[in-house]
Amino acid sequence: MPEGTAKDLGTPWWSIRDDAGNPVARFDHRLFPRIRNGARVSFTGPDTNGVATNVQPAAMVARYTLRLADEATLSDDRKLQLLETVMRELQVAGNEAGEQRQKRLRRLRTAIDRYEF
Amino acid sequence: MLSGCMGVGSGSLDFDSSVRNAPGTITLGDTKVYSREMLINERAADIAWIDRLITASEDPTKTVFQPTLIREMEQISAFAAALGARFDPAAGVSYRRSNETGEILQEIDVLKAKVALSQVRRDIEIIEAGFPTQTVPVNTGLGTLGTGGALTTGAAMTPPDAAQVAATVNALISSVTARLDAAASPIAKTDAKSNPADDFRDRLAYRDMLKAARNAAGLDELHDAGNNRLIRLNLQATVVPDPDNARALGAIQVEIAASTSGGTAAYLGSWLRAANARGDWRVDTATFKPNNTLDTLEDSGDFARTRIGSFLTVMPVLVNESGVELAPQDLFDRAEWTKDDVADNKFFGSLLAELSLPPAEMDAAVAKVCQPGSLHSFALDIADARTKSYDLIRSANLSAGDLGVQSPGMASGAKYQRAGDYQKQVFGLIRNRPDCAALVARYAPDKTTWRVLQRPDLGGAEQVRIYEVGPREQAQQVSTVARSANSLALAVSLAASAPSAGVAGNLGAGFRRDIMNRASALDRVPQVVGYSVGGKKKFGWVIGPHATTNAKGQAEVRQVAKSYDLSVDLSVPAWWTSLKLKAMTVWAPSPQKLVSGTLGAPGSETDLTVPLTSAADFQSFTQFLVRDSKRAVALEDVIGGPVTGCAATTLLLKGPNLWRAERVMLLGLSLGRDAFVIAPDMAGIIVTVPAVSAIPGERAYQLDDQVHILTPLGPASKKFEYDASLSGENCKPKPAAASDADDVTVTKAEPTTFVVPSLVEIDVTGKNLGKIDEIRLDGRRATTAKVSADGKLLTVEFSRHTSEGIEQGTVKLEFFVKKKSVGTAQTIRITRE
Repeated sequence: MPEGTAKDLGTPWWSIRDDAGNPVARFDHRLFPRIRNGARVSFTGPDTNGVATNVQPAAMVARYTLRLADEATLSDDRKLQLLETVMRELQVAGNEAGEQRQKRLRRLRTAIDRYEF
Repeated sequence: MLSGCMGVGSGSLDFDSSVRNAPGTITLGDTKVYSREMLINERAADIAWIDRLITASEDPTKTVFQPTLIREMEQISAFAAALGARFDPAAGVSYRRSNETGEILQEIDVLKAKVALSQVRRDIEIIEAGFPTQTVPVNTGLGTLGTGGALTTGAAMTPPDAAQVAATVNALISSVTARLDAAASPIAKTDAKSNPADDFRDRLAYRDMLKAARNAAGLDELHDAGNNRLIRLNLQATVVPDPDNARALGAIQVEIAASTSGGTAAYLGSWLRAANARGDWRVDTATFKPNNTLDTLEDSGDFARTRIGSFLTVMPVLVNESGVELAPQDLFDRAEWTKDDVADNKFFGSLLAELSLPPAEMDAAVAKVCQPGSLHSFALDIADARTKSYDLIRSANLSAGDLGVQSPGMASGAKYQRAGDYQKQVFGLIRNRPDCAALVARYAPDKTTWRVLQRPDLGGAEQVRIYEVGPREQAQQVSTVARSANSLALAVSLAASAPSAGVAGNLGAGFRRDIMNRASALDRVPQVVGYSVGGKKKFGWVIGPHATTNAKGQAEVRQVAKSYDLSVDLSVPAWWTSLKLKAMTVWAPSPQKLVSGTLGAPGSETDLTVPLTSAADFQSFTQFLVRDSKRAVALEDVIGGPVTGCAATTLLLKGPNLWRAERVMLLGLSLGRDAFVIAPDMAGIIVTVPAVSAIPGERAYQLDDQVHILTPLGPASKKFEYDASLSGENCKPKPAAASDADDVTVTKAEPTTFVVPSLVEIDVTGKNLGKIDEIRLDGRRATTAKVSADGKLLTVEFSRHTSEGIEQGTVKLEFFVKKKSVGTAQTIRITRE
């Protein structure tokens, strides 16, 4: 899963920069309003239009993917599956709040612990 | 200023002081603009003249002070002499005595006449008593006419002779007029001396006055601070008298509004283009080096380094109509200029295809446009940035060519058109939808402006300083009026007098005394007085009524139809391409409003736009933008020379602020202001260096081969050429020596001007050039040299690397055979890129 730094360009459409500062993708910040300017993010895409369809804080993603002690031993396909599951669930949780959000994240942790991804 | 008018002593010469603030009937023509260069040279000439007066004031034989009292005495006695003792104030007593004696004698004469009359009456009575007894006539020949004369009077009155009166009056008029005309004639010599203390005080006061005038003619340190420049505006004002305000003062008040922002923006665009064309500013991101000026520009918040493609440029920060700032880099990042053109075309094309639906389906499709995350909102974001960044590039006059590369990141017209077209169509669909209000507000095509243009000191009137309003005071000499009025009024007065008034001459003298009183009491009536209102950027002129004579021969004041040439010296920002003025004219202005700069009369306002030629150089403008008030002096180039011992040499010394030079030093000489003049473009000075013979010139040049310019802002120095061989006998033309057929002769080198670093290729023509084994340019050996078969053309090359180290200025191209100089060294002019 590619990573980068979120950059507020002054409009809803933010940019994601690579480590050299080059723009690599754009995303609509209205869909991911919790992302802060300058935050390290993991993102899905970009698609053919250069748009990242899912953008999540990299630390949050890492918190779930690193739950597996043997994460390093996973095959690339499984790692990708894990990442996609985490990204998808975090995206959905991003639009939720309170108990519903906590419940979803608990379910995600359980699923990871059981290798159900 | 006004007190001068109010101080008029005679009632009839008082202006009408009632305040009406009536709209003025004074027209103002288009302005004429004169440049700083002209003004500075004009002022320099004034200063030189005042300096001469100051110097002369040190010498008591050149500047003589005479007590004023002596002058007045001379005036009085000379005037009295001109009029004769009868009108001499000093002879007043004797005149009055003779007058009294005359009256007593007149009374005696009258009494004598009365006695004689009584005697005659008694004699008549006695004669008449004898009439009854008389029988024979006493008179014979009564039938014939004859002259009477039986009685004689003792003291008969002489009737006035008109011709005699006229002659007397004319003589008096001539003497008065001659005396008044002679007011400026030299004062007669006198033996009276002033004492040394008085002379010292007089001299000190005179010198103080001269020094004040010198300071006024000079320019203070602020006239060109902040990259300002001095201009003179000339206006022609024509007064059309208003019968209702014929004796009132007129006022013209002008307010400096501002520069037109368009001109400033255009200049900024030119500056930005030049700035981005600089090698050390526009740098490859890979070789980026720190740059203090760029840092300071960025710190100001008005500009930001912006990466376009692989190059760093400096771009202005934009502000939209809502006051939101747009960083130029963000704009370029959002604009997606680097996107593949085919993909870009497909992107916008497919989005427009989504909206190419039957009306029934359009509503649902358009609703999707405005949803977060929709590709349409992404496309609108791109289109918005693309149009704004493209406008930015255009306003900065930048192109790929300017940047020196065909950068893939540069904006393309096709992408701009595509995005603009999409933006226009989609906005047509979403403009009135409530669910799209946020998107419309965000991306509505609005006007952006450069943030720097909002700086008040860039286009506002605050930067303007009013230096001098001319004429300071243009006064009418009333004594002149009195003089011209004199003859006419006196003639009228005499014509109106009865012939029986044998004192007509005395009446005329009385009238003249009145004239003289006026002439001494009313030296000057101010007609035009310039003024400026400090801190309000306002200036103007008060136009006083004209002193003249009425039909009765009385002096009076009234406004007359007349044109006035008015001028004002302003210090304005050098980059202004126009200046806006608001002028208004008022009759009978309120003095309070006038001095506070708040005059106003509806209907009398005129807006004037004065086009200016921008004269700012980009370097100093950059200094202004970064608020660097330091004004550096630099001697960048010395053109002309060499200085020799044969004749005077003229050198053009070029560099910023050199025109402020007070002294120029070279070869042990110190040259003053009289040895140099300011170059017409003010970019340097032209110095005339006298011939300096080899002794001591050669030694002085060995010790110091630099010319030093000393200015109040600091010194500047640069090497110049001195040829000690051209001195003494060598100044005389030598007979042409028989040239050896085998000698190397160099006649010409072309071209003679190069920009370095670059490949320098020079064609040298001459004779026997094949013998040359070494060629040096500024001491640097030629890279290659090819000689034609006939030895008359030598093509020399200096590589880019070789030319890189050559200093700007004039350098020598020299030829050698076995280390010995041959031929005539040629002069090559080098300019650094």
